[in-house]
Amino acid sequence: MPPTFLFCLEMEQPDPWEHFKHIGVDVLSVLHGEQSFSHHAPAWAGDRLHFVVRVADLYEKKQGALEFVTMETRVTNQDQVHVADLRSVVIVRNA
Amino acid sequence: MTVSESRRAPLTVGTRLEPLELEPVTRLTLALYAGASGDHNPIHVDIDAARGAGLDDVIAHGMLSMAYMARLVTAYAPPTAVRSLHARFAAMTHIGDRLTCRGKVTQIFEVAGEQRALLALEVVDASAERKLTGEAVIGLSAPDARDAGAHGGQE
Repeated sequence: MPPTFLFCLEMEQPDPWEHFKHIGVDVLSVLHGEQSFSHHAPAWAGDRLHFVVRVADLYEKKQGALEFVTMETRVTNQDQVHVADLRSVVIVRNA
Repeated sequence: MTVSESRRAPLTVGTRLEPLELEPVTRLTLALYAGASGDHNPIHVDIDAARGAGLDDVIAHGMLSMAYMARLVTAYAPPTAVRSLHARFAAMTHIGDRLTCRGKVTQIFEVAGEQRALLALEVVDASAERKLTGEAVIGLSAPDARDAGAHGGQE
Protein backbone atom coordinates (compact mmCIF):
# COMPACT_ATOMS: atom_id res chain seq x y z
CA MET A 1 0.00 0.00 0.00
CA PRO A 2 1.47 3.41 -0.88
CA PRO A 3 2.25 5.33 2.33
CA THR A 4 -0.35 8.07 1.70
CA PHE A 5 -3.12 5.72 0.52
CA LEU A 6 -5.14 5.77 3.76
CA PHE A 7 -5.89 9.43 3.04
CA CYS A 8 -7.38 8.36 -0.30
CA LEU A 9 -9.48 5.65 1.36
CA GLU A 10 -10.72 8.25 3.83
CA MET A 11 -11.96 10.29 0.85
CA GLU A 12 -13.89 7.28 -0.50
CA GLN A 13 -17.03 8.11 1.43
CA PRO A 14 -20.17 9.27 -0.37
CA ASP A 15 -19.39 12.92 0.39
CA PRO A 16 -16.05 13.55 2.11
CA TRP A 17 -16.90 17.26 2.38
CA GLU A 18 -20.20 16.69 4.17
CA HIS A 19 -18.90 17.87 7.55
CA PHE A 20 -17.76 21.14 5.99
CA LYS A 21 -21.14 21.70 4.37
CA HIS A 22 -22.77 21.05 7.74
CA ILE A 23 -20.90 23.95 9.29
CA GLY A 24 -21.48 26.21 6.28
CA VAL A 25 -17.97 26.06 4.82
CA ASP A 26 -17.53 26.22 1.03
CA VAL A 27 -15.16 23.46 -0.07
CA LEU A 28 -13.59 25.89 -2.57
CA SER A 29 -12.35 28.00 0.34
CA VAL A 30 -10.51 25.09 1.96
CA LEU A 31 -6.75 24.59 1.70
CA HIS A 32 -4.73 21.67 3.00
CA GLY A 33 -2.22 22.94 5.54
CA GLU A 34 -0.59 19.83 6.95
CA GLN A 35 -0.91 16.08 6.78
CA SER A 36 0.62 13.32 8.90
CA PHE A 37 0.54 9.55 8.86
CA SER A 38 1.71 7.26 11.65
CA HIS A 39 1.68 3.66 10.53
CA HIS A 40 1.48 1.07 13.32
CA ALA A 41 0.64 -2.10 11.39
CA PRO A 42 0.47 -2.87 7.68
CA ALA A 43 -2.83 -2.92 5.77
CA TRP A 44 -3.28 -5.58 3.12
CA ALA A 45 -5.64 -6.18 0.22
CA GLY A 46 -8.74 -7.82 1.68
CA ASP A 47 -8.56 -6.02 5.02
CA ARG A 48 -11.70 -4.27 6.24
CA LEU A 49 -10.59 -0.92 7.64
CA HIS A 50 -12.56 1.26 10.02
CA PHE A 51 -11.99 5.03 10.09
CA VAL A 52 -13.01 7.19 13.04
CA VAL A 53 -12.54 10.92 12.46
CA ARG A 54 -12.69 13.56 15.14
CA VAL A 55 -12.13 17.31 15.17
CA ALA A 56 -9.18 17.70 17.50
CA ASP A 57 -8.59 21.44 17.36
CA LEU A 58 -10.11 24.58 15.91
CA TYR A 59 -8.62 28.05 15.99
CA GLU A 60 -8.52 31.22 13.92
CA LYS A 61 -5.91 33.71 12.79
CA LYS A 62 -6.05 37.21 11.30
CA GLN A 63 -9.33 38.11 13.06
CA GLY A 64 -11.09 35.09 11.65
CA ALA A 65 -9.91 35.54 8.05
CA LEU A 66 -8.28 32.13 8.38
CA GLU A 67 -9.67 29.23 10.39
CA PHE A 68 -7.57 26.17 11.15
CA VAL A 69 -9.28 22.83 11.66
CA THR A 70 -7.27 19.86 12.92
CA MET A 71 -8.80 16.46 12.28
CA GLU A 72 -7.50 13.17 13.64
CA THR A 73 -8.43 9.82 12.17
CA ARG A 74 -7.85 6.48 13.85
CA VAL A 75 -7.73 3.48 11.51
CA THR A 76 -8.27 -0.05 12.76
CA ASN A 77 -8.73 -3.33 10.89
CA GLN A 78 -11.17 -6.24 11.16
CA ASP A 79 -9.15 -7.70 14.07
CA GLN A 80 -9.23 -4.38 15.97
CA VAL A 81 -5.53 -3.93 15.24
CA HIS A 82 -4.57 -0.25 15.32
CA VAL A 83 -3.31 0.25 11.78
CA ALA A 84 -2.62 3.97 11.61
CA ASP A 85 -3.33 7.49 12.80
CA LEU A 86 -3.85 10.33 10.36
CA ARG A 87 -3.77 14.01 11.21
CA SER A 88 -4.94 16.75 8.85
CA VAL A 89 -4.84 20.51 9.26
CA VAL A 90 -7.15 22.29 6.85
CA ILE A 91 -7.29 26.04 6.45
CA VAL A 92 -10.59 27.76 5.69
CA ARG A 93 -10.24 31.11 3.93
CA ASN A 94 -13.08 33.37 4.98
CA ALA A 95 -13.30 36.08 2.33
CA MET B 1 9.08 0.60 -6.96
CA THR B 2 12.11 0.22 -4.72
CA VAL B 3 14.90 1.22 -7.07
CA SER B 4 18.03 -0.83 -6.52
CA GLU B 5 17.45 -0.72 -2.79
CA SER B 6 19.96 -3.41 -2.02
CA ARG B 7 22.68 -1.78 -4.11
CA ARG B 8 22.52 1.52 -2.23
CA ALA B 9 25.09 2.37 0.40
CA PRO B 10 23.66 2.20 3.95
CA LEU B 11 22.01 5.41 5.10
CA THR B 12 23.97 7.48 7.59
CA VAL B 13 23.39 10.91 9.07
CA GLY B 14 23.97 13.46 6.32
CA THR B 15 23.26 11.09 3.42
CA ARG B 16 21.47 12.97 0.65
CA LEU B 17 18.75 11.03 -1.12
CA GLU B 18 18.90 10.84 -4.88
CA PRO B 19 16.42 13.56 -5.96
CA LEU B 20 13.18 12.48 -7.61
CA GLU B 21 12.44 14.70 -10.62
CA LEU B 22 8.87 14.69 -11.91
CA GLU B 23 7.34 15.60 -15.24
CA PRO B 24 5.57 19.01 -15.26
CA VAL B 25 2.13 18.96 -13.63
CA THR B 26 -0.64 18.85 -16.26
CA ARG B 27 -4.42 19.05 -16.09
CA LEU B 28 -4.44 15.34 -16.87
CA THR B 29 -2.19 14.69 -13.85
CA LEU B 30 -4.73 16.45 -11.64
CA ALA B 31 -7.74 14.74 -13.20
CA LEU B 32 -6.12 11.34 -12.70
CA TYR B 33 -5.07 12.16 -9.14
CA ALA B 34 -8.59 13.38 -8.34
CA GLY B 35 -9.89 9.98 -9.38
CA ALA B 36 -7.12 8.03 -7.66
CA SER B 37 -7.29 9.96 -4.38
CA GLY B 38 -11.04 10.44 -4.15
CA ASP B 39 -10.41 14.17 -3.65
CA HIS B 40 -12.86 15.62 -6.19
CA ASN B 41 -12.64 19.20 -4.96
CA PRO B 42 -13.36 21.18 -8.16
CA ILE B 43 -10.59 23.67 -7.34
CA HIS B 44 -8.17 21.05 -8.74
CA VAL B 45 -9.97 20.19 -11.98
CA ASP B 46 -12.48 22.90 -12.91
CA ILE B 47 -11.00 26.23 -14.02
CA ASP B 48 -14.38 27.97 -13.66
CA ALA B 49 -14.64 26.86 -10.05
CA ALA B 50 -11.03 27.90 -9.41
CA ARG B 51 -11.68 31.37 -10.86
CA GLY B 52 -14.84 31.59 -8.81
CA ALA B 53 -12.64 31.00 -5.75
CA GLY B 54 -10.38 33.89 -6.74
CA LEU B 55 -7.57 31.90 -8.35
CA ASP B 56 -6.20 32.32 -11.88
CA ASP B 57 -6.33 28.61 -12.63
CA VAL B 58 -6.72 25.23 -10.98
CA ILE B 59 -4.13 24.27 -8.36
CA ALA B 60 -2.65 20.86 -7.67
CA HIS B 61 -3.71 18.73 -4.74
CA GLY B 62 -1.31 19.13 -1.83
CA MET B 63 -1.56 15.37 -1.44
CA LEU B 64 -0.17 14.90 -4.96
CA SER B 65 3.08 16.52 -3.82
CA MET B 66 3.00 14.44 -0.65
CA ALA B 67 2.48 11.28 -2.73
CA TYR B 68 5.57 12.22 -4.77
CA MET B 69 7.44 12.81 -1.50
CA ALA B 70 6.39 9.34 -0.36
CA ARG B 71 7.64 7.92 -3.66
CA LEU B 72 11.10 9.29 -2.85
CA VAL B 73 10.87 7.66 0.58
CA THR B 74 9.81 4.27 -0.82
CA ALA B 75 12.84 4.30 -3.10
CA TYR B 76 14.78 3.78 0.15
CA ALA B 77 12.39 1.63 2.19
CA PRO B 78 9.54 -0.73 1.36
CA PRO B 79 6.09 0.81 2.05
CA THR B 80 5.65 -1.44 5.10
CA ALA B 81 8.81 0.06 6.64
CA VAL B 82 7.52 3.64 6.43
CA ARG B 83 6.75 4.35 10.09
CA SER B 84 5.53 7.93 9.69
CA LEU B 85 5.20 10.76 7.20
CA HIS B 86 4.49 14.41 7.78
CA ALA B 87 4.06 17.28 5.32
CA ARG B 88 3.42 21.00 5.63
CA PHE B 89 2.04 22.49 2.44
CA ALA B 90 3.93 25.76 1.98
CA ALA B 91 2.85 27.06 -1.43
CA MET B 92 0.33 26.28 -4.14
CA THR B 93 1.46 24.08 -7.04
CA HIS B 94 0.32 25.24 -10.47
CA ILE B 95 -0.10 23.70 -13.91
CA GLY B 96 3.31 23.38 -15.58
CA ASP B 97 5.29 23.31 -12.34
CA ARG B 98 8.21 20.92 -12.53
CA LEU B 99 8.55 19.37 -9.09
CA THR B 100 11.62 17.80 -7.53
CA CYS B 101 11.61 15.86 -4.26
CA ARG B 102 14.75 16.08 -2.18
CA GLY B 103 15.76 14.72 1.16
CA LYS B 104 18.53 13.85 3.54
CA VAL B 105 19.06 11.71 6.60
CA THR B 106 19.10 13.84 9.74
CA GLN B 107 19.08 11.19 12.46
CA ILE B 108 19.59 7.46 12.98
CA PHE B 109 18.00 6.07 16.13
CA GLU B 110 16.53 2.91 17.59
CA VAL B 111 12.98 2.19 18.74
CA ALA B 112 12.01 -1.19 20.20
CA GLY B 113 15.07 -2.84 18.71
CA GLU B 114 14.53 -1.36 15.26
CA GLN B 115 17.06 0.91 13.61
CA ARG B 116 15.25 3.89 12.13
CA ALA B 117 16.21 6.89 10.01
CA LEU B 118 14.63 10.32 10.20
CA LEU B 119 14.52 11.96 6.78
CA ALA B 120 14.10 15.69 6.19
CA LEU B 121 12.23 16.17 2.93
CA GLU B 122 11.12 18.94 0.63
CA VAL B 123 9.37 19.36 -2.69
CA VAL B 124 10.51 22.34 -4.77
CA ASP B 125 9.70 23.70 -8.24
CA ALA B 126 12.18 24.65 -10.96
CA SER B 127 12.71 28.11 -9.43
CA ALA B 128 13.46 26.46 -6.06
CA GLU B 129 10.20 27.66 -4.51
CA ARG B 130 9.42 25.27 -1.69
CA LYS B 131 5.97 23.71 -2.11
CA LEU B 132 6.17 21.30 0.78
CA THR B 133 8.46 20.51 3.67
CA GLY B 134 8.20 17.22 5.44
CA GLU B 135 9.73 14.43 7.41
CA ALA B 136 9.59 10.68 7.32
CA VAL B 137 10.74 7.91 9.62
CA ILE B 138 11.72 4.62 8.02
CA GLY B 139 12.72 1.32 9.60
CA LEU B 140 16.12 0.06 8.47
CA SER B 141 16.60 -3.28 10.17
CA ALA B 142 15.48 -6.46 8.42
CA PRO B 143 12.16 -5.06 7.15
CA ASP B 144 11.57 -8.06 4.89
CA ALA B 145 11.66 -10.61 7.71
CA ARG B 146 9.39 -8.53 9.93
CA ASP B 147 6.92 -7.85 7.13
CA ALA B 148 6.70 -11.53 6.29
CA GLY B 149 5.92 -12.23 9.94
CA ALA B 150 3.27 -9.52 10.17
CA HIS B 151 1.61 -10.70 6.99
CA GLY B 152 1.64 -14.32 8.05
CA GLY B 153 -0.03 -13.34 11.31
CA GLN B 154 -3.03 -11.94 9.48
CA GLU B 155 -3.78 -14.91 7.31
